[in-house]
Amino acid sequence: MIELADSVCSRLGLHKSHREGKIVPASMDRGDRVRIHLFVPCFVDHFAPGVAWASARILQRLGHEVVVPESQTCCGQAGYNSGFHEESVEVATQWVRSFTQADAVVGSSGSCVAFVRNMYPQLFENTPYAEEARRLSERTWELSSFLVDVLGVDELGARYPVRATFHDGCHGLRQLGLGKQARRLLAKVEGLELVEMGRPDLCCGFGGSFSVKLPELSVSMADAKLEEVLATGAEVVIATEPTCLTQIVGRAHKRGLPLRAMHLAEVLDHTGQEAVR
Amino acid sequence: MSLSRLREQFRQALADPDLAAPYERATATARAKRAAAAAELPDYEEQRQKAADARREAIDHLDALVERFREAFTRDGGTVHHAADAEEARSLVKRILSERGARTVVKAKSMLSEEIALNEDLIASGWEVHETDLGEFIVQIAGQRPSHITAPALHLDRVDIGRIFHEKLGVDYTEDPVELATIARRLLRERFLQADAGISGANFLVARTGQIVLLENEANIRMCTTLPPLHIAVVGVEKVIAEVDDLGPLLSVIARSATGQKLGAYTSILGAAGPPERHVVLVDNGRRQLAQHPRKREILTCIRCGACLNACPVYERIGGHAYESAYSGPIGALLGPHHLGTDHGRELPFASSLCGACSEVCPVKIDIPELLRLERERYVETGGADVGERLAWWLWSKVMTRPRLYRLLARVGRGILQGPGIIAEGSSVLRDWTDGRKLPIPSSTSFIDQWKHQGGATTRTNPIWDRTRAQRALEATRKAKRSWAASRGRAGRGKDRKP
Amino acid sequence: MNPVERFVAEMQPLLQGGDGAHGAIHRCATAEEAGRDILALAEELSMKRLVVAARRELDAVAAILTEEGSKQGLRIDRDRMPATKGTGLDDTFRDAADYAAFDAGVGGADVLVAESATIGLVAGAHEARALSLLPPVHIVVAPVSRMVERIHDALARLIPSPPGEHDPGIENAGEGSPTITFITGPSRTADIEKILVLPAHGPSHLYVWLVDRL
Ligand code: SF4
Repeated sequence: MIELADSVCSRLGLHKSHREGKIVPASMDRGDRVRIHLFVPCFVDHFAPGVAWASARILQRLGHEVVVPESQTCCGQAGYNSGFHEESVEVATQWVRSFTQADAVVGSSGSCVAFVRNMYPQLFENTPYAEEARRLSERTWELSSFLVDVLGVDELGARYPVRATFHDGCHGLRQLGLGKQARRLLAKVEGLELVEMGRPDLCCGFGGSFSVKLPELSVSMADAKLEEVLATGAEVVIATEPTCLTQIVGRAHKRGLPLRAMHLAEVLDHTGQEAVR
Repeated sequence: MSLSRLREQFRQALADPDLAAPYERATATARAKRAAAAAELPDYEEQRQKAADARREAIDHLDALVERFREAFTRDGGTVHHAADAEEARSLVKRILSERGARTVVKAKSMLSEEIALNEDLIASGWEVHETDLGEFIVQIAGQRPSHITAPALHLDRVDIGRIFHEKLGVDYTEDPVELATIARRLLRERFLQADAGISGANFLVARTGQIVLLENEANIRMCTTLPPLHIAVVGVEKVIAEVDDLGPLLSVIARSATGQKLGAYTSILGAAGPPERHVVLVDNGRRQLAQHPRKREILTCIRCGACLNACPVYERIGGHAYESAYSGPIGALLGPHHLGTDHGRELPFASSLCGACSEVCPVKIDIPELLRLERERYVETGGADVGERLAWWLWSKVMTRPRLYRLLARVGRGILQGPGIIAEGSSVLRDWTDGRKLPIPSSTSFIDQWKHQGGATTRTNPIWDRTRAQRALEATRKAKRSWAASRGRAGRGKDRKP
Repeated sequence: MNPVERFVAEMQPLLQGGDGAHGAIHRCATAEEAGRDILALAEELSMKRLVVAARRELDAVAAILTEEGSKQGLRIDRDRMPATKGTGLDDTFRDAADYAAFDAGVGGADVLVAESATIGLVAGAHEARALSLLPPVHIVVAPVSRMVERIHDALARLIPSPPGEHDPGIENAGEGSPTITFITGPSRTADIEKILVLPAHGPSHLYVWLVDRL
């Protein structure tokens, strides 16, 4: 398996980049066809299947093959951040087992991908999964980073006339260096007017179990974030983090504000044919 | 304290509609200044790395460096005292003061003295103690506590301060900052000139030279360490650094991080020349215990610049007092479980969304979110989490490793959530979410089911072979933990270790 | 920008308070020029008493101030170096608190840091610490030759390794590890609503003369 992966990678011209500890290809021709394992974060699977569909369609339209490991459940981050280390390793094991054949994994949550990329090597240290976890951690990408950094694509032919603002999910931003890729992609969306917040990187207050352990605090943080969003006059808030979006619009709708949330993938998948959801 | 008590504490803070405004304003200013100051220095990142390395080196060789400092400081005619805990530190200070017949004390701002509640003790024992940093002075006469580690009166606006001055000092009401500062200056000038002793903390102790480094803007620290005939620095043992060379990078990042200045107005490096009597009280209070931990020792590299507080979206909402600890914000949440600054801070590591804004700005690159997470683990391991939560995560781990069962349960769960009764936001199980936010409505079928239904390509794993391997992985994890716990048991001592 | 220009440029904003200028920075060729400028300043601010640090390099400045100052009713006190070198820790010639009686303290600098417009002082009999602390105005007359780029350089110059080998430019710094004060602008506070107020407890004004030949 590892041999196969390495050969594929060398065909892709993958090399180790020290910048942000990422693996990025030195060059890749547009014609190269990649078999991509779609990482569907549990929240997306049950609450926002449209995000996964959009991600899959975008990759397919670029000529790549998309497969979905059906045994994937959750990356294990939730338990890890709550202090349940062993339980988290157990769940993460399921993820590694599900993706073990993959040469390229693409997921639609910066936070889940950051967990795989940055935490798995350490999580599986000295276990029988150490090698695979390390290998997978280097081959897993968040969608916007895969499109821009790996495939070198920023023009997807999307059209979506709306006034929007972009929220930087904390883990994607600070652990993966995300944000600029999404903005580049959004700049090419026809009709989309991107209005930046004063603090696009302010935490929305979700924080996994934090949101229910200290809910009043979490909601107060969401309000602070909403202030920023509202100040832009945007109708739609866009992010690469499904849970941030749930927190932000969950709060907005509770307050009766007409804000809409869209995952970046959904925006990029808008070719102008379908009706706006 | 329990998690529900922490929640209540925060709820109260959030219920005050005026609480957040001064924090929002002050932290916004501080963030902008820090960012500009870091951007202005071409080799900021290099200096930051050097500063981080110097602090890690120091903590790695803590005992040796402390001894070296003691030798050098003694050679220059000073006296070093060691205090194992807060109690001992307070009695040492009182003894030094009594032996010299010192009755009035001028004090420079020191977070350690807050941690060990030095002022309260001295005042209760009959000493006259005057805080001299303007912010500390305001907080002291108001009978309050500092709300920020570098800006103690951050929670008060000029109207509050004007009223406090009017009430406590009997001066005419004014809310002009210049007039207020002048009132404090006049009053404290007298006290500086009359005081029997000056007490300060320290930003750094240089091991080789025995010098005490103190940073400030107001000159009150210079007064406290120049005018009275006796100077006592009460300092946490972790403040030691090996060399004068380490100060270059540290000074290059600390003021930039704290206030956005290149350097504060005054950097005092106190050597042999100074007051006739000079003492350093080195306080452990759990620090050496913390230095034993291979990861958590990083907490001790903190240089108390306050940048993480200014960056923190939690601190900004609840303010400094809600932490009920001498140290607030992200660094306060890290110190809580180690009884530094509070005796009931076990739950403080949960007061974070782990967003990482803190470590992004930390001048010594402390990985605060990761360390908070480690403290959460420790909390769970030592029985902090209740039965319900432990059961929930246990079930989670079992269900998530059985994809078929998981998909089945998920389908049932989605069905329930879609049911009208619960989605009406009334369910008590979901109240913690739904009180403040709308519940997201689940899809009737999951993406993976839809994908399969539409004939999308899927992959599977070999369940039998993998389960054995997964079991072995888990055992390896447990073993690693056990061996770590055992080695810690040998090395560690004191209150942190539970039988 | 050369280091001296950098120093001057960095110093300007440090001298600005919310209520106007809190000092000034000048460059001049000789001690005489600096001395005359200080006399003019003393006149303008109606100063009555100045104290001049014992540093020998300030002899010329002190001489002008003493001679000319009496004409405008200005009294100059000169600190004196102790007879034996090495015994003089600071504050030995007058009580530290006595410096509060002066309208200004005239001192020097043992190092100047361009990057942050910082003045480095080694405490010793050549200059008492209280001279730059208690009077409301701090006047610095320093040779440009003491300029270094960064705080790192300043530390290396003032705290040599191994200890004991002091820069020959620093007079009578005493035995043991040096006591150093780095001064970067007048005393300040922002403890009230982060609003900048000058001064807090220390000098309200800082005047600096960078002299080509001192
Ligand atoms: S943790 Fe880092 S940012 Fe926070 S006070 Fe300490 S040094 Fe400053």
